[in-house]
Amino acid sequence: MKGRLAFTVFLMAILSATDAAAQKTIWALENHGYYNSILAEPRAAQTMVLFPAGADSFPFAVNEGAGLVWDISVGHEVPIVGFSTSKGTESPTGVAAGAFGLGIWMPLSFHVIEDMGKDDSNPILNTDYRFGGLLKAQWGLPDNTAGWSSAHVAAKFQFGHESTHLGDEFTLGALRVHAADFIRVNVSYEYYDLGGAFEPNVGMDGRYQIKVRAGDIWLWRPKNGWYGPELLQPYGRFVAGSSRNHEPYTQFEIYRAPSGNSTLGFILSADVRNRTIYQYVDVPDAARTNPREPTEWSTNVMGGVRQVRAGAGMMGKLSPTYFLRFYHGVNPNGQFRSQSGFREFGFGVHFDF
Amino acid sequence: MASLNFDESIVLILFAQSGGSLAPSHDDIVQFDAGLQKAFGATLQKIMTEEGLEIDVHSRSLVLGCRPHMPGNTPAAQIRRACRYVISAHQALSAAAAVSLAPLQRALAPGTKRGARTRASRRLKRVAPRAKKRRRHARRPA
Repeated sequence: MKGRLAFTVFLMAILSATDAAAQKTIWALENHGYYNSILAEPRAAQTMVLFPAGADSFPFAVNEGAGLVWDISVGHEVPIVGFSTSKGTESPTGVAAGAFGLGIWMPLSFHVIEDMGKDDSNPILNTDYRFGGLLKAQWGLPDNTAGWSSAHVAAKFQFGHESTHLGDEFTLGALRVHAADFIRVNVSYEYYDLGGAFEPNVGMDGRYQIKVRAGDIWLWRPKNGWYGPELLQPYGRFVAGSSRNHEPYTQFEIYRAPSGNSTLGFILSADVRNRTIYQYVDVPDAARTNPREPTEWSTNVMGGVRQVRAGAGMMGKLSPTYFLRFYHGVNPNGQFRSQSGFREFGFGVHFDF
Repeated sequence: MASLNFDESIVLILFAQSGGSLAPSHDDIVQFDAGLQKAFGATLQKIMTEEGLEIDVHSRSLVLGCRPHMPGNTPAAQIRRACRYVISAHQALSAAAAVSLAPLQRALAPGTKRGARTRASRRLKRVAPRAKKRRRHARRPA
C-alpha cells in the first residue's frame, strides 16, 4: 500500500516537473496558497497564542482541578519548490481557473501548553515537536459555475515525525506527589496524512471563502504504534502497544472577507477527528498490544475576526486573527492522549505571515 | 512587433514579477500574455463594466497590473479593488491638475485681454515712465 502510494506520488512529481521545465514555470521559496491549513487544525504548522485559556486538569498534576493555561503553537510551512501551469495569475486562494499547481513544503512546528498558576512554578505541561515534508496539489475549477465565483479542488500528502515531551518541572512534581502511579510514556511516531479539499468561493467576488476537507492520518510503521511500549519512567516496565493505526478527520472553514474600507473579515473554523484514546495497560513485555482501542470524536472550533493588512515590509504581510477557541475530546498533548473528554477554551491570536 | 492582449509594459512587468526568465523568448511573452487573457479576460470585462471604467487595452492593462498588489483573496476581489483604486487615483490626479491650472484658465477666460490689469495689480500704484527715468538718474554716483 505504502509502496504503491510512494510510487504514485513520485511519478506525479516527475511528470509534473517535466511539464514544468518545458514551460519554465518552476518556483522556489515562494508562498503559494494551494492547501493552507485551516485555523482550527490542532497540530498544523502555524503560529498562534491561546491566552487566557482554561483547561481541564491534566493527569499527574500536583494540584487537581481545572486551571488557567496558555497554549502556544509556533510553526510555519516553509515552501521549498513547486510549479504552476499558469504563472503570474495566482491569487492568495491559489491557482487561476483551469490552472494546476504543485509544490513541496517543509512543515515545522512545536506546540507548548503551560500551567499558569495552579501548580508551583507554572510548569510546562507538555511540548510536541513536529517536522516533515508536505506535497500539495491544487486545481482551479472554472469560474462562475455552479453558484461559485471561483473554486478549487486540492490534495495533500504529508509525512512527518512527532516527538512529545513532558515538562521537566511537571515531571518532578508528578514524581514527588504521584510516585506510585506516575508513568512516562514515549509518544513518538512517524505518520503520513492524506487529505482532499473542495474550496468554493461564493458570493460577490467570492467574498465567502469555504474550505471543506477530509483526510486520514496513518502510522508509517503500524507495528511500532503511537508510542513505545517500554516506559521511560519507571524504566523497565511495559505497557501494551497501540493497535489502531489511523485517525480520520474532517474540516470546515468559512471566511467572510471584509467589504468596503473595512479591514476585518469574519472566520469560523472547525476540525473534527476520530482520535484514538491511548490505553496504557501494564504488560510483562513489549510484545503485547492492546485490542482495538476506544476512540472519541474530538472537536476543535474557533471563530473570530481576521485583520487584513497591506503595505511594505513584514508588518504589512502579517495578518492577525483574533479568535475564541473551544476544544472537546481526547487531550491532544503528548502522552496525555489517554485522557478523553478533555476541554479547553479561551481567547487567542493567530499570526499569518 | 507581437500583438498582445495587454500593454507591453504591463505584460513585461508581470512576467518579471512572476519569476520569468530574464531573457524571455518571443513565444514566452506571447504565451504569458495569452495566459493572462485566459485567466482574467472575462473577469476584467465583467467587473470593469460594473465599476464604470472605460474598457480599452490601456485601462485593462492598468487594472491587471495593479491586481496583485490589491487586498483580497480571490482574483475577482482583487480586480474590483484595482478598478476602484484606478478610478480614485484618476479623480485625485484630475482634481490636482484642475487646481494647478486655475490661474491660467482664469487668465485665458473670454473677455480678458493679454496684459490687462488684474484685480491684484490694480492695487499697485502706477508709476509714470518719466518718473522712473528720474529715479534711475538720481541713483547714479555724482
